[in-house]
Amino acid sequence: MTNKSALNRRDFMKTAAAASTVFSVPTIIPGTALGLNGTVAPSERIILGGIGIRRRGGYVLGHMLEQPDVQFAAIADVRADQRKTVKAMADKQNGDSKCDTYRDFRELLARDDIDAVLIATGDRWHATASMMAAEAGKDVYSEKPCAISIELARRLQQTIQRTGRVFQAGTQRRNVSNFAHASKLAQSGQLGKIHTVHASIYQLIDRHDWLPAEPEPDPEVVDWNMWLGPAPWRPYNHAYVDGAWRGHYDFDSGAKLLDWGAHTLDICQWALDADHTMPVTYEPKDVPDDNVIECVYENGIKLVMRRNGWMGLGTCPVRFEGEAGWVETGDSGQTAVSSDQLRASLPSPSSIPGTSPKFHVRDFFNCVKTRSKPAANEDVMARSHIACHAAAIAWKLGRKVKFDPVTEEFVNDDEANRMRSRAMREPWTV
Amino acid sequence: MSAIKFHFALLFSACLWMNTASVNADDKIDTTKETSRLVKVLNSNKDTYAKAMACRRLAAIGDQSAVESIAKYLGDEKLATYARSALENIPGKASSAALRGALKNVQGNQLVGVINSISKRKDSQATSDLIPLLSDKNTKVAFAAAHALGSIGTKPAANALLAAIGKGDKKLQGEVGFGCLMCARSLAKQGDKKTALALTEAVNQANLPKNIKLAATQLTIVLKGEAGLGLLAAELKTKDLQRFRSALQAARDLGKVSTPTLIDVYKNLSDERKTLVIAVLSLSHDSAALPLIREAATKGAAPLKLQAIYALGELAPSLDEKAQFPVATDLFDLVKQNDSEIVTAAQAVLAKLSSNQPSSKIKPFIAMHTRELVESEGLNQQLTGIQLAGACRISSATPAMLKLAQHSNADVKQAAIKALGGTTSSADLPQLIALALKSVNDPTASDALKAAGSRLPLEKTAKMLADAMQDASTEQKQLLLNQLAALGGETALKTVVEAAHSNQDALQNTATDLLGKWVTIDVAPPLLELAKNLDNRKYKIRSLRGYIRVARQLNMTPAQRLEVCRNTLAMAERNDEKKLVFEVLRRYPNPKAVNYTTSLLKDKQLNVPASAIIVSWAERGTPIDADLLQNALQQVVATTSNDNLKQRAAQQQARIKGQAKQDERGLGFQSLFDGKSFTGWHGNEKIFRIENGEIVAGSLDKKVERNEFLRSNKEYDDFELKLEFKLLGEKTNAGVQIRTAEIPDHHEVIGYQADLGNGYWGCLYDESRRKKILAGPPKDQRDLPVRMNDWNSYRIRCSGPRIQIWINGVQTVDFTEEDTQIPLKGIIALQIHGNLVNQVHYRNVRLREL
Repeated sequence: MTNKSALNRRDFMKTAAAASTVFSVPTIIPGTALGLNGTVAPSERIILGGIGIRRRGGYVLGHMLEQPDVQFAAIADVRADQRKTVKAMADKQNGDSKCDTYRDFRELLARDDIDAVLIATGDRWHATASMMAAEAGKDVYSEKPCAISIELARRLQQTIQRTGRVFQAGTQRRNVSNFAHASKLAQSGQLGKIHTVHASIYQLIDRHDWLPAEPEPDPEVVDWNMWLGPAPWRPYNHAYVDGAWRGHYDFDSGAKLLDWGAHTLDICQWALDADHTMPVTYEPKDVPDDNVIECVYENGIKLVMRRNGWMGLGTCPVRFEGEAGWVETGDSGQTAVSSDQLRASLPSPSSIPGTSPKFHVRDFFNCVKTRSKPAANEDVMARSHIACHAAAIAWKLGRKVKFDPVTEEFVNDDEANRMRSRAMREPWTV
Repeated sequence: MSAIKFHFALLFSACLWMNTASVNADDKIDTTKETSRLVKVLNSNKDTYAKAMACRRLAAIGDQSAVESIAKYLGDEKLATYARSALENIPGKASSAALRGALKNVQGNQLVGVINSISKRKDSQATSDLIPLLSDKNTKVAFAAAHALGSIGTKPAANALLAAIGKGDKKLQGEVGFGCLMCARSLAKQGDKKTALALTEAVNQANLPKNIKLAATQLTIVLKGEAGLGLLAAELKTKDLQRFRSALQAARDLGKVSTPTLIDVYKNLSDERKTLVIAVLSLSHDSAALPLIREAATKGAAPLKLQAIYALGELAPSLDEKAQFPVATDLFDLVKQNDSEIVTAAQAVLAKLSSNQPSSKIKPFIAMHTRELVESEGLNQQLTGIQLAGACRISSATPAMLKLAQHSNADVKQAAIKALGGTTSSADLPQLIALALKSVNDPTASDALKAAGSRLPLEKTAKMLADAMQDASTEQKQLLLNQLAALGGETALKTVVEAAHSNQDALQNTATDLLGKWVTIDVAPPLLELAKNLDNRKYKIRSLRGYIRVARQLNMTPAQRLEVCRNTLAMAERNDEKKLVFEVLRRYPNPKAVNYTTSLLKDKQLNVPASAIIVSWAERGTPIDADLLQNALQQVVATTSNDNLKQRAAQQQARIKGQAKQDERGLGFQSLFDGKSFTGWHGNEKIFRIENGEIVAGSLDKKVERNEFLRSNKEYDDFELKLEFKLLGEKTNAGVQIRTAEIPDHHEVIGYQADLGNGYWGCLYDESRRKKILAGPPKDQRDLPVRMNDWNSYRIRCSGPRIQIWINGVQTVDFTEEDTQIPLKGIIALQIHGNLVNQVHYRNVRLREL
């Protein structure tokens, strides 16, 4: 533990210093102030648990394990192979073999010693598991999309507030410098009055078929009932568990719109300083080979979600256009601007890609200690997720819808309003 | 009868989306009729899937008439969730009553589900039914009841929860506690703060888990506002770390109101807690906290000091300029200290202040003090100044940096070179280029050049770098090429391409490598050119791989992407590159890509990879028009020699066919031809006959004398028509008349024809009227989507003045009638063309009115 901490602390300080030149919120807390000087006393460590960790989760967990003041104590997963893999990963980092494994995450949540959890299951579980964790007194870092419906996004937000927990959505681009800088350019007025912002999305898919039934596996190997969790019953097929759940209505969020949209629309909200609101109209456009949804804020600013026509700056690109210029950036870390004058203010190219949760996880742990709100807290998450869901509903309906950001209802639109929520499978209650 | 606009194939459709999801706001469906059809499904002995999907659709469109049939499934292990989704969403009293009724006759998990649905509907009428369930022996039921009462959030619900505090198992008690807090929030929202506070108070007094009590205290403080500051202070003074942190959270929620309290308790806290208070204070951007934070930053012990410096970074930029000067002065004192962490932190905050407002006076102030540091005698201070000059991009420091870049002390030298990346302006750029070229192996210099280039005017910088190529050595040229590639843009691309064409192997190597990673699509044409014309095989292949990579990784239009695929396949000699083409096709499915991939099936060598892509699209549920995908799968079945793929394709084809049928039914399609009789049609029955359930006209050995039409009895205005056709014969012609009128006692008709046959496939022809093709694909592309001598699908959509046509899912016409005199209503008629030896078959004719 000692060596690791010292090393990581140096690394952390470097990155903290670099980051602080870019971020206004949250304050980057220096390591020593958090008790990161050298060895962190066991009593000061944040004890972390994991729920449903595979690819993306493993990547995030890797960054969490690097934190000198965090100790990963337990993994809950419905898959035996993943329990084993994650335990091995944690034990190696901790230099022991103490990481506990559970099939049922309720046992993990029942432990008093665990302070916080990383939730990286599929979409169907995120909100339910997050709310259960919050009620059990844990702070939550949940991968996005954090809620599979408008109703759950709102309920998650309320539950976090009611239980007084710290919540961070896994929309890490809020803590990646090129996205932060692009947002700052828009906010600072350097682009002139902003009229249009663009958020990339991926191909929309909304499947309602069931894959052919296969015999259910031994629950010790794959607990299918637990895998389904709050999603409605359907016959088992191994492909779901191996990742083919994407695009299926019961398992995915907003016909996959939230896959990228939860990130990119969120960054647009940030750039417009609109975290307290969201667009009021959502209209799908008939553009061949694309999914274009045009959204408009109350003040007339347009937000265009689209798949095509980006500059090639990596995945999850966003673009902000004002009367005096534009900026576009993406996961490659590169930023394009409309003029040499705007170029002059660009920070040095970042080596941290947009997919990296390096600063985002640190932001979370800092807030666990200071009880501050992380960059992608429950309020920020709820707004951008609900806006994405509203856009997906407009696309499903194939027509324009109006939304009231205050009541969080579609305006005089029973049909759309009935798409805001779906039932949670019994006996799950949150 | 309400006919709501209804488009979505939502419930049944995976495949219809792609083409139909786009804005068809004029689609209508009769929801009452649809509801009764779905109710019939629920009352039938259809399988679980059919019933699940019926519930799903009813959730969206059903009305109270469906409630009874849905409620039957509330106790069904598999269907209960689907049923509840419907009941939760169907407005009106009937669904509420059905759910309340189910409280009495549904058990176990399904009862929990019913309670949750009541909870979601916030049905206050259920309160009295829920109260006894709080003590149900099934703890899951009791738990759900507590939650539901919390969600209902009325005073009676609150009273029931208050009475339940302290009873039942630990988990239930927790939920009762949280239920009280839910009630407290909704009552406070409705203006009843008094009851809300009574609830939080009761939770606080009860013997409940700590996290719930902490949440209650937090809520108490926030609800009380200013009156809660006393409690806040008390909580901040407790020994318990969790309580302290929870109080900090309440302070944060209160905002600036809490500043005096935080300042007041601060002095008696341990340093460790002071640091946490400082963090919270800085976040509220309250200038009242500045003196305290400044004091901690200048006089505190090391860890506290460090936190306070970062807090200044958070707070200072939000203050007015006048208040920023003393902060900057503090920070310049701090950067002179010996602790490297303190120095780094103070530098970072100064850089932030300097960059915050470009026009502020604080910027020159920081520049001046930085230059002083650079000129100072002490080595450490000088280093600090150099770093700061770079971080704050103080261009007036460039001459000094250039001088220090020759310094005998290696640390100073390296720091100065690095700082040049931040300070160098366009005017000074040639000197930085020279510096980098002088030391090609020193990454610090080239990184500095890259950093400067990334913010200086693009084309101007690129030209300077390109000009420097002239007299440079090979190594220097390689460095410049790397710099240009990092820059991008027109000049950069041109220069790197020239190097790829040079006769020097090292330059070709570097240049083709860089072009292979280029981030804009303008690199595609030169890469294709290099792939065609380079002599060196290695670079040729590399260029081709780079070329196909553009289609895979960068954003192109579907047409551009397809062109890259075509060109690559035409040139690729090795399987490796061909595989990359198929990867592009797999990733970017669209009608053109599907067609192209289908066309590749004919190539023996490409059949298997092309089949694999088509099957994988289907298996992944990729949104491709059902007709188009079915057609592609059918061709895989017909052509591939790979048994596994053949079998999977057949399986998917069956699935998609079934799905499409269901989708169509959901959308309201109805059959126009029963396969046995001409009921609903009239025409020359000597020519038109029924064989094997198909409509057949014409023959393969005798000319059809004249045009003949099988006419519908009914007229249609806005509709979508689908049918299958097969044309046989050497020279064929037939077609489908729409919005057509009969000419009394004449074999001809007048109106639009969706044409079929050699040279006319998929065109919109104006029969007996303007007598010309109104719209259609270019001549040489008309037969592309058609399988000759085989069954093909036709889809014709008329909505207002707009007419759209698809063959096998490939759109051939999107036409809008501008002549307002032309009727938008008429019969449908199936044609066989006269004066030709040919035969036409039609089947599976179905239509929905829009």
